Amino acid sequence: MAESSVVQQLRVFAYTGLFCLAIGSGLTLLADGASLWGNLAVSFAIGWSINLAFVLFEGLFPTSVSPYIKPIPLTAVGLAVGLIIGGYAVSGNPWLFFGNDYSTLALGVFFGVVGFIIFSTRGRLLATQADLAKSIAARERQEKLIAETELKLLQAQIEPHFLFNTLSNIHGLITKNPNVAEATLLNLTKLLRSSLNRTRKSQTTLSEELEIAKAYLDIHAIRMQGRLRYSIEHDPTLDNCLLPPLLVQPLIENAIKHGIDPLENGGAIEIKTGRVNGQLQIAVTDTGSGITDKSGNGTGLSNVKSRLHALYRDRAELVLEDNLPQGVRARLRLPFDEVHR
Amino acid sequence: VTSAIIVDDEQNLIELLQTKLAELWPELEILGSAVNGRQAIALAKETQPDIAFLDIHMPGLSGLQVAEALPASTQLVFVTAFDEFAVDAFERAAIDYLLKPVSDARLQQTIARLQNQHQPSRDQLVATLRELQPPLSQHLQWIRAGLDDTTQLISVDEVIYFQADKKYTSAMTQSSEHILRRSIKELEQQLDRNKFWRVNRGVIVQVAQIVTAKRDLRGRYTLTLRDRNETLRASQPYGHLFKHM
Repeated sequence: MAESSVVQQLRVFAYTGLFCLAIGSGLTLLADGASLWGNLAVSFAIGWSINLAFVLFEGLFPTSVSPYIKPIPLTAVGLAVGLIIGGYAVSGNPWLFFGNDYSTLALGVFFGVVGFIIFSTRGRLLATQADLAKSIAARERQEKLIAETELKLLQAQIEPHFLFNTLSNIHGLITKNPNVAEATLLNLTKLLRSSLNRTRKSQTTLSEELEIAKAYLDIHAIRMQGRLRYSIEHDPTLDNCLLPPLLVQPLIENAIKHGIDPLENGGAIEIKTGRVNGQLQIAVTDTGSGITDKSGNGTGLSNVKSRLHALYRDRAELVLEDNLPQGVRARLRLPFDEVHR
Repeated sequence: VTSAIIVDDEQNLIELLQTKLAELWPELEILGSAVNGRQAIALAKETQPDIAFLDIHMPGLSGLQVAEALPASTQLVFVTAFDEFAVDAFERAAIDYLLKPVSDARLQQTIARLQNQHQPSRDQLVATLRELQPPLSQHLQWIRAGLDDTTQLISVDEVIYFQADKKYTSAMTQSSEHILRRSIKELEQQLDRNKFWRVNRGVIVQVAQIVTAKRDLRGRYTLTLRDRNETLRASQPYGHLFKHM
């Protein structure tokens, strides 16, 4: 930044120089009587003094001062210094232009204002272009992020370890308990199908999402036998709420993996849907082992958070908190207005 | 008579293996089963089996801890659903393992091997397992943020930077700010230094979030961040961190 800002400043001085050259020679051509050298000396003195005033003193203003107010004192100071230097250069008398003849002062003010308008317009134009480029880049990054987090969540949905374990359970149940084997196979099918369908859908309904959650929990309940109990407390008026897919399952996965599975005696998971502060809330609470300072990191949850941020900015949130007396609660909140699209 | 125990956190799978073993190796005597590491160790101590079929992922104690605690005379066969790394390591160490769901043919091979007593030494086994254990993080992973009854759990990976604030510390994530009851100094000691850098007296930043570090004439750096718009200032004494960025 240091180098490039120096280059920038030099460029401004160069442009000012060209501008002053035009004014100085223009005034001479229009025959105001003074010599070309004199006109150039005065116009350069004023132009560069104003430049210098900006370079030296602009940083002194608090950022709260409007960018339209700031240039007024800066230009005034630059102009005064320029007139003193110019007057001294032409006649040896620094106060030459503050005496009886105010015409040079008036010209200085006039061109100072013109110069300021030209430069600030140009600056604003450049700034607007830069902003535009920045917002385009930000949007592209955003879209890429949405696609990336979706892919990550999709991959996490059918995790190989889970898939093979489930198949192994079905294998074991086929002869021992064919009914449960069949139900588990159908649950696994539901899960697999949803993960394939949902790659093409950007929205799903809450009832559909809960169906999938139930299939997922049922499989784990079979696998873990008595160690996992679960309940779903759902407000049926919310059935048709729309939400992006893949957000709920990671919360359940996290509750099982980091909460219930590590406990020899297992625990319970409760899913609760509702309206809270005008938002759709889905809470997944477990009575598992809880999170300590050094617990493994929640990659699945981070993926959900990045996805929420990419889709909703700060209008949605996932909050993780301790559940008392033990375990963790994950609260997912989404805006309703978008949900009802 | 050869005897065995089966250790798996899933009862269905214990029963499955039991049935299959009864079919394919009727002479094998199953002395019992256990659904977690603690039970497994107790059972093995009590029964002194010749063979233990051991699931790697179990609640409580890990497969490594169980393997270390089993009697030295007990041969181990690991059972796992999917574990690329474990399987690869087992192959290299010539340790027997079964992949779930277990086919009869594969189980037959294992039985043949067990009957021929091909077993690597226990030391080698333990060493291999140790290699498989993901290193436990010694660093702070989760923080409790907020005051009084509104405590949230935040993964440190989400924190873009920490900023000291009189009595407290603020943790800035992509979309919010959280108040922590820890001093910045305390945090600095607990965070992974490869992931978080202190850049001035009051700020610790996640390294992966730093997009650019621009040096000014006084040797200070201005840092731009990936997921937040504000810039951070790295003061001169911390400038060495960015020399090569």
